[in-house]
Amino acid sequence: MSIAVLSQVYDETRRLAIAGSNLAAGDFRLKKLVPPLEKAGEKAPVFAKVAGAIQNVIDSDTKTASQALLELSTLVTAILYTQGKTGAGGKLKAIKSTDFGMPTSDASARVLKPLIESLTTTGSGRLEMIRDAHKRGAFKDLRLVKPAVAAIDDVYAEIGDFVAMNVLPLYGKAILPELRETFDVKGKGGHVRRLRLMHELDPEGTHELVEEALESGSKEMKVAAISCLKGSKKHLSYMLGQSVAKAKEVRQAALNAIATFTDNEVVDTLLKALAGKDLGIAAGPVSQNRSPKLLKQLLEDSQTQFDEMLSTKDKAKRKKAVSRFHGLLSAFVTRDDKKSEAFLTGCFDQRDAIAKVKSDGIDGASVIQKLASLMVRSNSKAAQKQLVDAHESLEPEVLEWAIIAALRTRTPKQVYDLFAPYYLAKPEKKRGRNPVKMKQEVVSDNICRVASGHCRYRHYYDWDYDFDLDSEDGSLTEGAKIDPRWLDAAVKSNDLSVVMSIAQPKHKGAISLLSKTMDEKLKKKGDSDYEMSEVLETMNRIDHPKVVDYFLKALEKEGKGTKRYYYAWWLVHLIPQLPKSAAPKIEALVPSLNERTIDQVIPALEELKKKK
Amino acid sequence: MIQIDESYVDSVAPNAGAIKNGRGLVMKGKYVALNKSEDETIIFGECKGSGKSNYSCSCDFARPDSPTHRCSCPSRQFPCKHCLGLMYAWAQGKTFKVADVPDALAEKREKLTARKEKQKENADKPRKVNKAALSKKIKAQLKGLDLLETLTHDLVRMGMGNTNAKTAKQIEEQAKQLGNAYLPGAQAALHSYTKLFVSDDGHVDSSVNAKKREAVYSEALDQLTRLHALIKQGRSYLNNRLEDSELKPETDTSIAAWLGHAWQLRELRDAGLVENDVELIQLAFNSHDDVARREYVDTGMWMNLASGRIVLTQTFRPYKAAKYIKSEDSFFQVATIKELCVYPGDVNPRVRWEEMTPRAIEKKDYQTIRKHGHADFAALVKGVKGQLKAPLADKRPVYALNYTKMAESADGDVVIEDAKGERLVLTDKGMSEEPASCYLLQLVPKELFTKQTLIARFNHDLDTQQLRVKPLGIVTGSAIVRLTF
Repeated sequence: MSIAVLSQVYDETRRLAIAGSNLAAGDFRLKKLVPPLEKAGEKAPVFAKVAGAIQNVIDSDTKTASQALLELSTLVTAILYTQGKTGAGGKLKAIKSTDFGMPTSDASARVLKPLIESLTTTGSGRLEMIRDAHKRGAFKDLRLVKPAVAAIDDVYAEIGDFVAMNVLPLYGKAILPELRETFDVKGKGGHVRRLRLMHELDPEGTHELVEEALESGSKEMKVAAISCLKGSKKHLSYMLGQSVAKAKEVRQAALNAIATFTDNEVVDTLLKALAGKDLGIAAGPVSQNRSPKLLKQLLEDSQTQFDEMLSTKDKAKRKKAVSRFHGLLSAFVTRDDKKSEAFLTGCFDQRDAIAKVKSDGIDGASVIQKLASLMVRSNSKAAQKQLVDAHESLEPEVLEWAIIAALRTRTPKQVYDLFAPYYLAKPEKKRGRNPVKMKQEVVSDNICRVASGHCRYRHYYDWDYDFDLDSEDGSLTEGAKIDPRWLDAAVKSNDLSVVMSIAQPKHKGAISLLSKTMDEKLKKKGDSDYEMSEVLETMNRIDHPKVVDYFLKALEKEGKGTKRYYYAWWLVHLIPQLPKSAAPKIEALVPSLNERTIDQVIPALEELKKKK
Repeated sequence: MIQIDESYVDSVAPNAGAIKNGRGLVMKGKYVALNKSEDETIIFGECKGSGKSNYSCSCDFARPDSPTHRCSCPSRQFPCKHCLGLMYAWAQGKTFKVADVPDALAEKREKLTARKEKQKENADKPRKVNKAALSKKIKAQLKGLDLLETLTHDLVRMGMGNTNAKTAKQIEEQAKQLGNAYLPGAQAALHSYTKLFVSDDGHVDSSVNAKKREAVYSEALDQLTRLHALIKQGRSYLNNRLEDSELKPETDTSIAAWLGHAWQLRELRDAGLVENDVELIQLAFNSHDDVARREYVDTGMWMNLASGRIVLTQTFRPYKAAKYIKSEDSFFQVATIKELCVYPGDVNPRVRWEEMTPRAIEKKDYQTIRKHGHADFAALVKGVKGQLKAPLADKRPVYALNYTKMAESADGDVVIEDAKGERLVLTDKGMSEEPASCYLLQLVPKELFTKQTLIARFNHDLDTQQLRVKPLGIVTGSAIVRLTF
């Protein structure tokens, strides 16, 4: 009771302090509190003291009011400080915690601050820092959770994506409340990432949100929601409805989401999409569907288009047929059934006829290429054998697939025997299309690619480096071995790029070719040569006996005088990979280089020194 | 023989940029001369700069525990990159030629030695106080307190509701006079009031919105009460000193610091505020940007392993000089300190030291921290409340609390419970120096929920009348899990 009065006194004091002490004199609300306090004061003198202080305020004039009010507030605040409520009643329950392992917290404030700045501010260079911290496992620190969650909305979409895909899943369900609280179903960007992430972390619990997103979300949000529901039988009818939505992205997402169902309605929807203008977005989902009815229809349609393509005389009709047939072929990706295989190989057998189909846009040649790629992807041994056996009759673009098929199904020795002749052929010099030369390039490119584990940096700066293969196809020849004779052949034909890809330690030919190349490059005056760092990297990889010497010469050439500093970058990034014994030699060279190069060399050199 | 390694040089550098530049000078071969004295107590050299003449720099280790760095460059960073580079060169084992110490340098060394000796003599001698000057100063301070009183009363008369950015700025203008009256502490206290009416970005021109205002009134009233107490206690303290000119600054309470007395280590020593052979372990650290005061504050919270008392280290880095003052960082070892100077204060006094050697943390150190934790919450709370009621007390003291259970209350708050079933509620409210930490408890492993030690900061919320704690870290048998930074 008396404590309640004190709280009232505090509230009134606070009110007067807000309004100003000029209004305090004679304040009737304070006045009312005096009698109960005086009564309480009979038992505890402190209340009488408060009553006295109140009286002083009431009796004050404009001059003394401020002093009196301060006295009162000092007194009452002091008492209230001794009356703080602690504790909490009721039953306790366990904290709903998501344990993501024992957290680390040995990152110092000086390390955390810049990282948190990267996550929460704008500016360049932040993604690198975040990636690096992720690689070091620094995000296992509790204190980074909140800033990392905030980074999902980063203005730089790549940071948002990286954080959502790689960092935040580390924290598990613990961040769900935070994500949910800041989620806006009408939003884009970060909100779409939130939905996907929440669904990834807790599919069951996110159900309602996903449905809300389907109902009232933005276009991007709908697409994300649909992809969250992929394979959900419950939402099938909704998805079927969305497969004819106005926005193409939504239709595509819906088709993807229903792709694996074999219900009649689904098959009909997919076939309908395949037959119309949605062929491009429907072929992918159709290729995942294993309904026999769908396959039957697909084969029939494809055959019809194939026949039409070969038989029609009408230019417009032919163009349409080629294009549709090419599109339908995409629906055969990953199909490994006998019927599909027979169809594809049957078509491939008629390649001479197909090659004659000319049309602007997609023509017969592209169709054959696609057929060949599908024969490889079908994983069928017979189909791939047919492709390899046909190598002599193939155009360079299709030969590529024959090589891939061979790398997958034949021994390294057989591959060499079959394809080395193309590589070692001597193409005549001529303008225009030169199939002999193209075949040579196709072979060397594929040999390089199989060995591409060795030339990591290559694709950064070799703009012509293009295998006409997308990244998924790179894995088709994973694990393939290369016959050692390729290296001999490459040295013999002075093919530096192949030598660099497949060079092996102690290969005398390779060693001397690399030395010779470096000598030439070092002698060359004028502009710098980017390839030099690549050669040095190869030398380092195969423990070339003179790699350090050549490196020092190259650095000396590039880092002296007023040359543009970025030429040296390619060399500097090699430093940490060099043998540790190179450190003192580089250090000795440093003073003679120009300032900008030194600034780059120093951190790299530190890294080399730290190397074990 | 000078015994330093590269990590030592890193540790004396004022910031990361200086480390990089210092190392760079060595790499770039900017040192045209690297010399050492015959007795190897000093290294000196010449370093090429952008100008015509070289910089002469030297690192004097005649007193190995507090070396002297000298350089002819105009940099205000200390030690400058040239001295750092010189030490890196030494630590990396570069060749230093034995040479005669240049006359000018030798002269400076002699002067320094003489000065140090004189200082030492003076330290033993009782210090002469210029009584006339002191009494003049105290009178000026008393006048300053009169001004503070006028300002405070003006504020009360006007009412907190009418304090806006404009009046806050006017008050601050006038408050500058307090600085001139040797009352920087009082000025800061006034600042703590006006800053409540200043927006987060430090601009005084945009007034604080109504909702935020409502939230600051209780805090503002508390600050006014504090100013009132400061005036009252300060005046009586100063009057006492004026009457008795022999009287030294008071060491029992923190009133001297409140008025802005900058304690010198020798004063603390003279007053016997020194602890010897102390081991400190850092429990928490934060580097906080005080926008209103325009400075960074690096605060370390440490436990004295012998006494269990939690003490603070504080480095204030005003924006203007931030580049020249070494920023502190989290510390993950045990600091062994021969002589620890403790400032007058209450629960968590500020400490300082001149020399420190680090040692690795051992498992038994965690046990020691846990042993010092308070296991009886009721008794502790009683003590804390008694502490808080003094207007000039530290309102947010830090303690170590041994809990048997950490769990969620019916209201959804996290609470800790001691063996007797006494509970304390955890909160982030009202404590903005450190980032929010309560929600982190949902991410920690389950074993942290029973029988651990919580490092926590108490706070009494005047609006709700609740005394709650903010978690700063949890000490287990094998680690300190830091929740803030």
